[in-house]
This record gives sequence, structure tokens and C-alpha cells, in this order.
Amino acid sequence: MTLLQRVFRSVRNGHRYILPLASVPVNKNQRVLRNYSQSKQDTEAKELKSPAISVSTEHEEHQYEESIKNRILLRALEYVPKTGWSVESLSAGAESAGYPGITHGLFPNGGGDLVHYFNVKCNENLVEQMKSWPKDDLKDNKVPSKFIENAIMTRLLMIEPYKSTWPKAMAIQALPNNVPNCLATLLSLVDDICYHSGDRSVDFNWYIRRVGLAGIYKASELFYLTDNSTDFSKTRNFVSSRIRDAQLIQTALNLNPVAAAPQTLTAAFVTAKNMLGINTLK
Amino acid sequence: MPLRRITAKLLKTRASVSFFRTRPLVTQVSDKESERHSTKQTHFGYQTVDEEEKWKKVHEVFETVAEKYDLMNDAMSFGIHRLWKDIFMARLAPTHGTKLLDMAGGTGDITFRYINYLKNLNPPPEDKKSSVTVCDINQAMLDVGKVRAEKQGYTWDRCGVSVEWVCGDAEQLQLPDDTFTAYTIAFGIRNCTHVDRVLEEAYRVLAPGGRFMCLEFSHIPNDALQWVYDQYSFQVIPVLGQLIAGQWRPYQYLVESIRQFPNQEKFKSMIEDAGFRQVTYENLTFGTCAIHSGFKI
Repeated sequence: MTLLQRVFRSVRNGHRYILPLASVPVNKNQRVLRNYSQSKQDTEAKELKSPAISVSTEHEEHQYEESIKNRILLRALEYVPKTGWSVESLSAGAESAGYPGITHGLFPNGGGDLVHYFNVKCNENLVEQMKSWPKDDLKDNKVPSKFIENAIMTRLLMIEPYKSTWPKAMAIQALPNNVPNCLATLLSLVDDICYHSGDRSVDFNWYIRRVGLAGIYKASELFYLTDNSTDFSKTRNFVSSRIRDAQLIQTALNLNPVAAAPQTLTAAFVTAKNMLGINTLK
Repeated sequence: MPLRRITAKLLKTRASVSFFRTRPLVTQVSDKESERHSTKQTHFGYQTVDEEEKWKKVHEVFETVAEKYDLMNDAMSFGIHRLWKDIFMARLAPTHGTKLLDMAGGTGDITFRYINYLKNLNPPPEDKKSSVTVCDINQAMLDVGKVRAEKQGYTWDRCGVSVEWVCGDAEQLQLPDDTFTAYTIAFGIRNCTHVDRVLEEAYRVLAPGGRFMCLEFSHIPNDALQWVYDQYSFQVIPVLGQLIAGQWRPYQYLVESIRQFPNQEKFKSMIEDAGFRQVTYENLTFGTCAIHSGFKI
């Protein structure tokens, strides 16, 4: 490695913030840098050019790798009903994409990566669909319960082709090394739903809505797994009643404390009576 | 009498051991200088030797230790090298139809694990035949492996995986392009004179989608642990070599060559330079060993 290259690398690693004369080795692996005005300008000028090139090629590299991975994952999904969310499906997918079976090693998390890919794909699909849905009922100030119910049902029904293997997928998602990915996709799902249903809040409600919706979605997912009713009407009922519950909670939270004072007092009084046993004396 | 000879040898080499502790800094400088002056020099442990000579010396080392190789591995690593190799194979996770080139796999440790892994999968479909080609530069090591394979039943008719034993140099393989779907090299690449050429050859013989996997000693990123490891390496391992295999120099070479080998990040970038993508590594036992993996895609 020439001196110039070395200087280069250190500059790129952020050493340019260290004054040339006061240069100190930041960690012991880095060599001491002594930049004097002439050579410094030189490297700065070159540095302007080279990262741009390397960034673009790196980006292309990344895109290339991702496209191959996605092709394999897409093919692997076809094998899921037969061999589950597993390494076998991945290697079968790799083979049908024209690679040897051993290429499944691209996915060190095995089935976890496949489930993650499926979730991301479904979320994207849902966003595309939601964009085209009518926005009429979102104009009013009330909760867009119909919109949310539709969104949740649409997303749940995407699991339909893999329903028999989905309990396994949920178990895979609960494994510690897959939890971060799983939470990320869940959050992006509820975030998309909230956004497209017209939520523009910037206060604490932002969190409440998302956490609430995530809870509703996960509960409905569990319900859906054991639902054998035609057209999944039971799941639909379940979803709408959960949304109603959430609305109730929200109205309770939004209640004006002064207006609610008599009710609160009565409730406290009754509770106190119960504790003292006055109610049961008669 | 032999005991006295050993103690005499121990006493004699005490001096050289403490000498080696201060040596690295000096040799690194001389290495750099020799790089500048001539490109025909390389390192053999901490010595700087001609490239031709390194090849011969490495050859000699393995010629002399072949018989006791496996026993020494067990003794030096407390048997942990078996776990490393098991993990290595679990990461590779071969499937039926895999064509493996087990480079520097003389005594068959990786090959036998590969066959066992395939045995534990579902029975293979008719059209998918797995194979493994064991390649080693040293016929003495291959002979040990062949005998073991016969004895333990890792043959074509008994395990359904075709096993081929080839004597060849990792830097210039006599094998056609795009033939293998996996290339493994366990504790071998360190002994090659031109690591970059080995990687290029690996890239050449692998089919698109093929995986390169390397298990090799590496560097411990923790100074305290590194100190302990150094003490063990320089004070204990050559002594073990003398006591068990009757050879001091080969094991002195072993520990020195480990120090000379590039660290995880450096080696990773070397693999990337050879054209592999999606290059990752995993440390085993605090970084004593590292598994590097890359794909030809």
C-alpha cells in the first residue's frame, strides 16, 4: 500500500477532523498521520472524486446481490406449502433459480429470512393496495374503522396460501435472533396502515395508535389460524369488535376530567362501600 | 536417555522461545523491506525465506507430522478442533447434489463430516448424487486419510457419496472451471505461499452460486486473551510437539504462521478481491479461529 493510499483511507475514516499538526493515532492499528498543507489539498481533491465512484459501484453491488437473493426467496416461497419455512425450501428455491442447492447459505437465518422476506413482500403489496382504496370516509373526524378493518383483513388473507405452515412461521419469528426483524416488519405494517388511514398525529397518540393496532393485528392473526368459517366471517367479526374496543378505550382516555368527575366519584364511592362490606350487609 | 535428550532440548530452546517473544516487531520490519526489494521472498513462520523454499519447508513439515497429525490436533486444542470443524460443516449445511472440493483436506476430517451431514438428511432423490474431491498437496497426508476412510467406511458403496483423492496444489489446480458447488479449506490456506492465487483458483473452479468456506486460525481482538493465547502457543505447543510427535520445529512453525496470517477483516477483503460476494466471517472461541464464507454469484 502506498503512502498516498494509506493517507486516503485514514482521511475517509474520518481523520480529516483531526488537525494535521496535532494528529494522533486514534487506535493503535492506525498509523500516525502527518499531513502538511500541500499533500493535504491533494488528497482532499482526490477524495472528492473517488468516494462518489465507490459509493455508486457499492450501491450497484448491493442491488445485484439483493436481486439474486430476492429471486431465490421468491422461488423458495413456492416450496413452502410442502417443506415449510425451512432450509430445504430455500435450497429448492435456489435450484429452481438456477443455482446449486448449497446457495441457501446466502440466508444464514434459514427459515427466519424466508419469513421476513414474505412479511416484507406482503406489507409492500398491502401499501400498493391501500393507495387505491377510496379515501371518502377518512375525511370526517371519526375513527376510520372500516378502512382499518379492511386493511387488517387484506393482510391476513395474504397468509392464506401458507395457512397450514403459518403457526411454524410464527414460532420462527419468536426465536430471539428473528425478533428484531419481526418487530420491524410489524411496526412498518401498522405504521403504513395508520398513515394511509389518515393518521397525521405528532403527539403521544402516535404511539398509542400503533401499539394498539399491532396488538389488534397479532390477536387477529392468532384467531385467524383456527378460523374455519366460510369467507372468514368470524375473523372479520373478531377484528371489528377489537377495533370497537380500542375506540372505547380511546374515548375513555379522551374524556374531559371535569365532565367525568361525578362518574369517577360514584365509582370510587361504590368501590369503597364494597371494600367495607356495606353492600353485602343487607 | 530419551528423557534426558528432551530435557536438554527444552533447556536449549528456552532461549529461543524468549527470543521469539521479542522477534515479531523486528521481522515485520524486515518483511516490509524485503517486499520492497524483491517480491520473491515470503515468510515461513517468523523467518523470511525464498518462495521456493517455503513450499519445500511446508511440505517437509507435513511429511514429518502426517502420522501424528490428528493426535496432535487433539492434544493442542483439547479436542476443540473437532467442535470447530463440526460448526464449520453446520454452517456449510450441504444438500444432496453438492459437489465439494475439500482442499487441504488430507486426513479427511472435513470430508467425513460432510458425508455424515448428508447421511443425516432425508434420503437423497435418485437424480441427485453428491460427491467430494479431497485435494491435498501432500501425498503422505492423503494416504493417512485414505486409510481412515477405508477403516471407517466412508467409501462409495457404503455411504453413497463418491469420494475422490487427488494430490494437487491449491495455487494451480488441475481441475476444470465451474465444476464444484462448494469449496472448503480448513487450516490449510495459511500454509500456502500465495493466498491470493489460492482464492482466485477457488473462484475459478466454483460454479456460479458456489460457496467458498475457509476455517482458519485468526486473531483475538482482546489483548488480555491474546496474551494468554500467546503464552500457550509459544510456551506449551512446541513442547507438546516434542513430547508427542517428537518434532519441535513444525509446531514452532505452526504458531508462528498463525501470527503471520492476516486478521479477520484483512482476510475478508482479500476474499472480496478475488471476486467473491456476500463475504462474512464468524469468530470461534474468541477469535482463535474464524470461519470465512463467500459466494460466487
